[in-house]
Order: sequence, then structure tokens, then C-alpha cells
Amino acid sequence: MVFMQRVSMTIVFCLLTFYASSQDGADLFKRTCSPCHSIGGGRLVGPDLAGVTKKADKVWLTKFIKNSAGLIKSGNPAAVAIGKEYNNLLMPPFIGSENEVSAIINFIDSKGGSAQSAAADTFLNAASVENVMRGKALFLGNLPLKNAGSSCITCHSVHDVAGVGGSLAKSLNLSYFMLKGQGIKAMLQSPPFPAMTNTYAAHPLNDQEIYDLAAYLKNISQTMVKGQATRSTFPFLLLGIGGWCLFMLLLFGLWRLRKRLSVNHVIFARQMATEK
Amino acid sequence: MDIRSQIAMVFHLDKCIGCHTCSIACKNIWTDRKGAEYMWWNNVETKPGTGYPNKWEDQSVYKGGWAKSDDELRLKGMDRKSTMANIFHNPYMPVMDDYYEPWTYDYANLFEAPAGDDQPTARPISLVTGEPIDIKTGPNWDDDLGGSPDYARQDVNMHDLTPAEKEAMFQLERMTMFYLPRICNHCLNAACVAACPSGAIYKRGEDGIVLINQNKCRSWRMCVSACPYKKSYYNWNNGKSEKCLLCYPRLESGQAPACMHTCVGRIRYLGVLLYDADRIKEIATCEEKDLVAKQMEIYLDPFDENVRQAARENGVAESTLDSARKSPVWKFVKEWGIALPLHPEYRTLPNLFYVPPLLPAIADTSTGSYETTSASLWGGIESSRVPMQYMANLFTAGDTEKIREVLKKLMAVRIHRRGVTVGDLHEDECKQAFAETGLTADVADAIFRLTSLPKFGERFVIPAAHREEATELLENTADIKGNTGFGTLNTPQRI
Repeated sequence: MVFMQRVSMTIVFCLLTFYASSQDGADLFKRTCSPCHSIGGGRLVGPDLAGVTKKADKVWLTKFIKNSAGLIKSGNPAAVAIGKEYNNLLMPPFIGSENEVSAIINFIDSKGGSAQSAAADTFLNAASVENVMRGKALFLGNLPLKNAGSSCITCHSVHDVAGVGGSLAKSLNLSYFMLKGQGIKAMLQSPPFPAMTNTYAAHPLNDQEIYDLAAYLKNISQTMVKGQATRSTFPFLLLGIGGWCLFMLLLFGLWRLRKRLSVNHVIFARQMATEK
Repeated sequence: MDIRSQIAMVFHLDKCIGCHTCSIACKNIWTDRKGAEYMWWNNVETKPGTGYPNKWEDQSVYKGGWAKSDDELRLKGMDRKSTMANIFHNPYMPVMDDYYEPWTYDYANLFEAPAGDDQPTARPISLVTGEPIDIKTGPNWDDDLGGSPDYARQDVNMHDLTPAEKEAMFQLERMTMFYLPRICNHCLNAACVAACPSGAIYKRGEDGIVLINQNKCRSWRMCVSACPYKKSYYNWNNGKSEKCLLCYPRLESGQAPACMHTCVGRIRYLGVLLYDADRIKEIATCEEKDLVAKQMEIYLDPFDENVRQAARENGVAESTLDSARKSPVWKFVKEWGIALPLHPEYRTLPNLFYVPPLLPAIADTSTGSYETTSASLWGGIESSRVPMQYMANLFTAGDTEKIREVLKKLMAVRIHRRGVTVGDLHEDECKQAFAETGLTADVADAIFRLTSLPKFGERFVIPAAHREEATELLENTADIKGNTGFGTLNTPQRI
């Protein structure tokens, strides 16, 4: 009886796991891969993944998904080739279990099809100067995000507000050339980076905001390439050293009347002299 | 009028034998803990000497106490701005070398040392670092004029003495010393209370004991430098400042504080004084020469019915008023006027008073022999071995007239009692002494009795604590009546 119970429970468990994993595959892909990859929709930031399971074996794919940087570093020829093709723009490592990775691979496999060449990126064709200005305001936080998300400058920096931006995440000076309009849109819709995912999970950006920000980032990247970037020439290091010296001088002045020695130092000095 | 009650003390220096029993009693009860080893809430200093911590009286170094500027009173070492600016670095704080590095000895080595050619020794071990140290100084390193050139000659109280007077104090045949036991003065205008940025120090309403709330103390240590008597100490182990609490748990149960209870010379007296808190500022800001006289004015007559009525209206308990009438402190300080505050010039209005000592007279060495006989039996007060100015610097902010007056009274009592018990003095001498001081035979006898033959209950008149009333100020006891008693600070651990 107990045996039968155990068997039936195991079967139910297996079925549930299978069901859950197949469900997970689609969901996980949407959440973590779709910002950069499509399946049969053409190349975005990263390659079109349609048919990738036929080109590479599952073990290699799992390794690449879990730690592409490591694989490239280890000199795996296929990985190095991909890295070169995409200007060494690294894919963030997938943080999750082995099961989830295989669920994603199964999902890609089940879709079938073959990779398409890059579709024309028409996302930002209609962007106007207003979009750029609004995007800048949103980026800097002068205009609050509708869903109360933190403004980009908290963690990112760009060249036209040099010295002010955050240094917790990458500089976005060349983001447009790496991601293109579609890529930026996808990134902002469902950010694949853990810190960004957590930050915007409860405070998603709306479509208008995404469009404005993407337009601004495109403008930033273009001016950067044209050499119009206003580089920060402010000597922060010198300022720091100078400030420190000034602070020490100030302390010296403020506490010049402080009690420097023990009142007993004369006695101790005399005793030490006597001992010698 | 805002009449409050204050537990005040008198130390009779003529009776102190410098045995340090008080210090040990205090240490055993309160400061025998890690981080508190160097604290001597009660200490006995040899005067002339530099005391503990070293040179504590030198406010040009430590900046303790109050300074008068115009008609305002400000702390010498700090105001609001400088407290804020110096909050992480208090510039006038005493350092460990100003106290001493506490130590113990490696006693175990005496038993456990391997057999060798030499006797094993117990090396001194620092209680701070746990490493062996060379002892440089201790809490009472200048006891009985020990190391006089280093300590007694550095005494801060000799500032107004003539060079001749200074030199005379250290000639062998004129050398003298007396003891000065010190505890917290539980001042009316305490500088430590004013200096604390956390508001952790307070003066208890019912008896004026100054305490540090250990839950509120944030170890800024402003009290350490603000207290001119250096009686607030910082516990380096638990990061809180601590000070003499006048053994309030003992007082509340009707016992004398440990230092007073154990006093071998029975020099200590404790009792209630009533004072007018409205006058504190006026008196603390008066001219330096008036400080002693003015401070005496703040204490009010417990026999005056008006004073008693005003006190009652202010919530002073009837039992406290009764005890104020029996207070030995009232007699010494106000009725007889023979006890003086220590360093009134710090303007904290201290509540510990000292009966100054009558020291031996100077011997005459002009004949080549050491001649101590003088015209009168004990020699004149003027020929005391300690210059009048020195005593005045200690007890009357430099006013020699005031200290002379007190010493004359003490001498008059001696002359009178010598006349009564031995009868070898001329009657005129006694009459003259009384005429000069305004004493009468009855008063002199009363002073003699309370000085020489007091019973325990006469030395310590401790009012009932009325903790129940103090508790009711803070909480409604009816709320918890019948539940869990009066409550506990920390709930018991259940397993």
C-alpha cells in the first residue's frame, strides 16, 4: 500500500516537474533572453536563436548560457568566434538552475525554424528632438518616472552630464551601437541584469518613457561617435588631494590649543633620564 | 522660591588619617570591574600634591568648570558650537597617562614557574592590554609627599604664594601635609550635566544626586573634561561614562554611603540641606570674592516656617524636612560656619564641604635647635606651616580673610575645651578667642561634641527616600497594581 502510494506520488511529481519545466521554458525565455534574442525574428542585440540547437550541442549551449565570458576566456573556438562577431559584448551569465537552462534550450528547440538576418531597426525612426529632451529629463530624474522607478543616472553615466552620473553600472555612451533601438527597448521592457531586474520589477517603465529614453541614448551615442562628447576635464583627483590638505590644515588650526601631552610627561621624561 | 532638598556632605579634614579605607570600600562595591579599574570615585589626596588625575585643578590644561563672561555663565571648555565641532575629538580630555595604566601582577608565576636559580617574581601586567608593563605611576603615587619635587612642588594651588612662602613649605623642619579625600560634589550647578550632548546626566529631583543614565550615555566624554573635579570617568570597556552615585541604593535603604560608613577617622557627615533653585544662576555668576558667602545664602533655614511651607508646596516630603533640621551638614556649614566648599571658583556650587585642618605651627630654628614651643599652646594660626594663601586657594577662591575666620573658630573650640578638660589656660585667652569669633561656650561644646563624640545617627541623618513617590512621577502605579508587582526592567528569561 505504502509502496503504491510512493509510486503514484513519484509519477505525479515527475509529471508536474515536466509540465512546470515546459511552462518555465517559454516564460524564462521571455523574461531573460528575449530582450536580446529572437527565435526566427531576426538578429537583435544577440543572434537569432532559431535552429541554434541544431548547430551546437546541448552541453556547449548550457556552458555558454551559464558563463559565456568564462567559455570565451578558456579559448573555446566557437565561443571566441561569437564573441568577435558581436564586438565582445558579453552576454550576462544566467543565474538559475541547470533545469531552468535545459528548459530554455528545450523551448528554443521546440520552436524550430532557422535564423533570419537582421531585420531593419525602425524603432526610433520617428524620434524627434522633443523625445530626446524628454528622454534626457527622465534620464537625469528631472522628470519623474510614472511608476516611481529610480532614474537612470542613479547607476549609469553618459558623456553630456560628465562627473555626475553613477558608477554602479556601465556607462551608456555607446549603448545605441551595441543594442540598436530594438535592443534598448527590449532591455528597458524587461531588464535581464539582476540589479536592474530587481530595481524595476515593481516599477516598470511605460512605453512612452522607453521611447524617450531610447531616443536620448541614440542621440548620446551618435554625438559620442561624432566627437561631440563633452569630456570631463574637471580634475577630481587634484580636488580630492587639495581638499584633504585643506581639511588637515583646518584641523591643525582648529585644534591648535588642544591638550597635546599628558600632564605627567615632564615627570616621565625626568624618570627616564635618571634611569639612563 | 523653588525650594528643593539636597543630600550634602561635610568632611572634617582635621580627623582624616589618610588610610584610604574609603577608597577601598568604594572600589570593592562599585569599580572593581573591567574598564573601571582606574576609576576612583572616592580618592584621598595628599596636599600639597597634584592629586588624581594628575593636576586636576589646573583648568588651564583641562578647561573644566564654568567661566563668567559679563553676567553670563559659560562652560570653560565648550559651548554648543564647539561641542558640535569637537564631538569626535574632545581636545581637553585627560589621557591614560594623566590617570595611570591599571595593572595587576602575574601571581600565577609564583606557583607555576619552573625550577630555576632565581626566585620567581610576579611581573606587573597591564589590565588594559594584558601585556607586562613597567609601572610609571599610580592613582596615589604622591601619597605622604612621595616624590615631592615631581608632585608637591607642582601643586596648582600655590599660584598666589610668594616665593618665600613656597620655599618655606618644602624646608625639612617646616614640611607638612594633610589629606584631602574627594568624591563627586553633586553640585547644584553641575558642569557635567550642562556639557553632556546626549542629555544623559541628570540631577535627581528628590535628593540632588547627580547620575549618568547608562542607557542614554553615548560616550562623547564631554562630562569628563567639563567636570572641574574630574570625577566623571569613562569606562573604556563598555563605552559609558560613570561617576560616584553617592551609593544611592544604600541611601534609599537608610544606610550611609560605603565610603562614609567605613571611614576610620569618622570624618564624614551627611545630611539634607534645603536650597532655593531659583537663585542658582544669580549666585553662580556673582563676583569671585563673593562666591562662598553667596553660596551659603542659597541654603535655607529648615527651622523657618516659611521655608518649610514653601518646601512642602514644592513637593519636599515632611520626613525630609524633619531630617533637614537634624542635619549635621546644616550645623557645620550654616549654623557654625566652619565648613567650606572645595574650589568654589569653578562656580559649580559643590555640595561637599570641608572643615579645614589646623596644622602644626612652624618650629623655630634660629637658636640652632628645633624649637616648637610657642607663646600660646598651639602657636598662632598665622604661624601655621601651610600658608594661609594656600588654604584660601583651596577653599575660598583665594580669600584669606574667610579661611582665617574659620580657622580662628576651630582654634577657639580647642582653647575652650583645653580650658574645660585641663584647665591650664588663662581664662582671658579663652574669652578673647570667643570675642574674636563670636562663639559661645555652648556652641563650642556643640562643635566639640559633633566633631569628637558623634554617634552614627548624628553623623548620618538620612531622610526616607520616598521611592514610591518618585516612581509615581514616572508611571501610574495603579495601572500595574495587582498584575506583576511594580514591573521589571528586564523580563525574566523563560526556558
